[in-house]
Amino acid sequence: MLRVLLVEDNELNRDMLLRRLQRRGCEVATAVDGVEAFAKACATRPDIVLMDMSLPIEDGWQATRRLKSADETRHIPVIGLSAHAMAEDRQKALDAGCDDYDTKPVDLARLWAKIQTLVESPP
Amino acid sequence: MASIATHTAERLRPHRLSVRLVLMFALLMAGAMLLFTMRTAKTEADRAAATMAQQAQALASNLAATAADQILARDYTAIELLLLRSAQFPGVRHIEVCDAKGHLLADVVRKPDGAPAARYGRPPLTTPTQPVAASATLNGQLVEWQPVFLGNLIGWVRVAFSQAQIMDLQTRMFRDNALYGIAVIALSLLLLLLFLRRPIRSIARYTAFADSLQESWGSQVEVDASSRELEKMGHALNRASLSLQEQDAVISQAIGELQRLAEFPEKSPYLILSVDGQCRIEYINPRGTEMLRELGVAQQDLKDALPANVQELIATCLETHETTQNVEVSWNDRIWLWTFAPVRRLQIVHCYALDITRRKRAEHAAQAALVDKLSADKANRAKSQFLANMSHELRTPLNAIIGYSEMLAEEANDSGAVQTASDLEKIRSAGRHLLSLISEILDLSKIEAGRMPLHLEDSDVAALIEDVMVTAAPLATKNGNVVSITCGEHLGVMYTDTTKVRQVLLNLLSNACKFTEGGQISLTVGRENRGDGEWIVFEVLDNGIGMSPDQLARLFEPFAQGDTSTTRKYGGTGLGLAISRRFCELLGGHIDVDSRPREYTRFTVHLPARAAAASEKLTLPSDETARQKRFGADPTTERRNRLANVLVIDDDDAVRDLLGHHLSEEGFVVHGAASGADGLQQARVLRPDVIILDVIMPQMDGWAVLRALKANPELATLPVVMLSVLGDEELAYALGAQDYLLKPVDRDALTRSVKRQLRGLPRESILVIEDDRDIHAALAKALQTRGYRVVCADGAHAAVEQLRKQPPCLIVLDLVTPSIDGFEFISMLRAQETFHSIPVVALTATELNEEQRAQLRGVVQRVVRKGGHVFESLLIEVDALLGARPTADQQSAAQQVGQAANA
Repeated sequence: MLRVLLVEDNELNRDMLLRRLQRRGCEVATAVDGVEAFAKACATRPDIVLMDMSLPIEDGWQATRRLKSADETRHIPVIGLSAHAMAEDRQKALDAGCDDYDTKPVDLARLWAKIQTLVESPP
Repeated sequence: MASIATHTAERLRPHRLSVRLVLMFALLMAGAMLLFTMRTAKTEADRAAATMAQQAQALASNLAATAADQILARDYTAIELLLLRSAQFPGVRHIEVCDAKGHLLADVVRKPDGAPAARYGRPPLTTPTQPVAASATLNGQLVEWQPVFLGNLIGWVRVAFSQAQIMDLQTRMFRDNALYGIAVIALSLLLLLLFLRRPIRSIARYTAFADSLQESWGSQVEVDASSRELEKMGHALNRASLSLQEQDAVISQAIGELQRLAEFPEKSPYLILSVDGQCRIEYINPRGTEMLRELGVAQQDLKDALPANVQELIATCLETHETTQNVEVSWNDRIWLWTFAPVRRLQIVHCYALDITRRKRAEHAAQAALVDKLSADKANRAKSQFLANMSHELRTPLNAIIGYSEMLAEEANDSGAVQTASDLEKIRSAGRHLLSLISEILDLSKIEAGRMPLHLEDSDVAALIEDVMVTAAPLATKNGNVVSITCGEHLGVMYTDTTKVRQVLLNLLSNACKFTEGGQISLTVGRENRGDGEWIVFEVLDNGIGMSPDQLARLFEPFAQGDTSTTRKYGGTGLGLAISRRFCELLGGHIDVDSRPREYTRFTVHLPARAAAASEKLTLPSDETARQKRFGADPTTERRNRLANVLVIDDDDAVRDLLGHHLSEEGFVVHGAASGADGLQQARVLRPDVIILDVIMPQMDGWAVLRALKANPELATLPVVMLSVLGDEELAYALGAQDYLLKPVDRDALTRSVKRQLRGLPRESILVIEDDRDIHAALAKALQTRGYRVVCADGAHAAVEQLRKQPPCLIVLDLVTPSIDGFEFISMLRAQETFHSIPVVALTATELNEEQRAQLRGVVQRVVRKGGHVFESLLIEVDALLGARPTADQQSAAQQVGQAANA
């Protein structure tokens, strides 16, 4: 069973994505800000992190950087998610350490493909 | 009376020096001779008279001595005898002897035959009172009285001698001397004349030479060295001649210098005036005269007409003797740049004024346009930022809508609620559509704000196509279309933003699929090497519903789908093509479209194989970058053009769009107005740099708009280019239009016209000299289509008249026609300085021989053979000479006209 940490501050999106991932048979943990995300990641050691970039308290880029700099979480693949469709957003996410990037609204089929790829051949 | 006498005397007085000299000399000689003769005659006569007196005295005393005794003895006979003997003495007229009382004792007279004879019975003589010898002259006779003494006075002897002899002698001597005198005078005069002949001739020669100096200087006269005076005079004349020649050279040079100097003010574009303190004109150059005439100011009224501050400046200038430079003064609704330079010595001021109205207006317009542009840019950026934010805010809820509906649809499908699943699918689809709308609007606004970044990379063209087709294949099959791909050889690699190229191609392919059912769609890709580098050309062709010209014209505008029903029927945002086009421009290329309703639609994408570097693009607004790439124009020109506002007033949307398209591609900011009234309104608000005005419009036509524009003082100066299908060019100019273009509008002609208006240049006019009406008309049409103003002349006379009226920029001349001798005309033309530099293109029906060629060499710029593609060649030559840029379209257009004319 794939264990996913979903970091998303917007309740609707969080709930929707949570339920859809669960429908695909994932075990999903959620976090609403960067600080919580880092804590949960350390605690639960998920197979993959789906990280929204605009988060309160500590944003997705900072959280990702922390995840990627800590030994115990470095290996966990992170997919950045953002409503900013611009290319620099993508680059910014990759620069922060994300392994992949997808835009919102989420096309689940596409996101699922990315998840599969990263989980099967981790970075 | 007196005057007549004077006049006569004047006439009689000799005028020739020689005659005067000779006469004077003759008179003097004659006078001298006369005096001499008279004196000599007198002396001789006196001597003769003295001799005679002596003889008479001797005779008388002799007689007195001899006759004394006989008197005493009163022997009359003896006395008479003595007297008769004595009477034979030459010259004696008569001899008398009387007593003391005067009673005659003997009286002898010499008769006219010379024989002496005694006279008797004469009365007694009156004896002298004193008894001494006495002599007297009486009645031409010398009378000698001799008293006879014998102790006492006893008587008197009286002897009378005739003086006729002396008179004779005197007369003879006088005559002889006179004759000799005349002979001497005559001889002397002859000698004098001979002597004077040479100097007089020399004087005559000198006179003729001096006369000739009026005509020509520098020649030398032959010097007469015979006399010092004449020699000196000759040398003096020669020196004068040489010095005149030298002075003449100096004067000629000075005149040439003056003329050259005078050309500066005379041909200056400045208004140049010299005025005194009262603003009276001392000098005004032709440009000034012309300007004053244009302004309707008489020269003597200058003071009243000059603005008060100019008068003050002139006065100040005279007081301070300091030059005042570059003062802007508005005068008669125009702006002038004045410079005042005082001339202290003459108490005048040289004024130079340049009309800078146009420049000032252009500056103002440019400034306003810049301000407009900056504020528009700012507004645009704000709008884009707003859209970017908005789209983010919109995406989040949309995310939820799409996600939940998708999820619910999956669940419904799982639970078999087919109807619910279908409804949820509709919600999801609507959400997706809204989402794509939002992202495309965002794209568009980013492009327009100049914030669309490019990610340039090397990309294999064939791989790119393959990639695109994978995505497009499902779309194609949806409507039962067959998609074929044709790839040219050696497609190679292109350096570009692959994502954007993919987006463009997908957009075109999805359009093709959308609007075609059960048809053919082909994608053709090729690599072309053009003059300006390598290009990749993608062509998407379908045989679907096609488009009307109306739809084509608006195709690339945002939300310009065929009509709203199209959107309902076919979906799509209506932004795809607008974005595609802007992407292509961003990458340095462009999209062409070509279509026919219900037949086909063909989109052709031209992209350079190497797009320009991304950093360069990011710094400039995207549309300008694309333009610069395409036209390679220098940035300053582009900037000037970009700042220029062009207002196109035409009721025909298609024409307006087409012109707008052309002009915006040339870098102008284009505004459209669909009616005359709207056009006027916009002209008032925008103050465009150029107005393009169609003649035929409903309600308010072009002429009415033109009149209204020209009647409004604020708008009257805006240049107007008239568009018409009618041949009413003269009316357009009469109403104040600056230019006139024939419809259908030639793109290049349009651009040139607009640029000309911006630079304030008049339209290039061409004088066509040709007597064949048909060729004439065809030539005029071809040249007019290219945007030239054509003036026709059917003969040399008419041509000269036209030249005088307004010298054209170029002359097209038929060399050999029945009524014009082209060679003669050209030599006439080249002989006149004014027309010397006008380029001439000669038309000829026949091959020229070497002599004719030689005649034309250097005086005619081009020779074009008639027949074949005469118009095409002619237009190319004309364009080349006038510096226009021919394009392929125009060449073919000209060819068509030419063929039509030939046919």
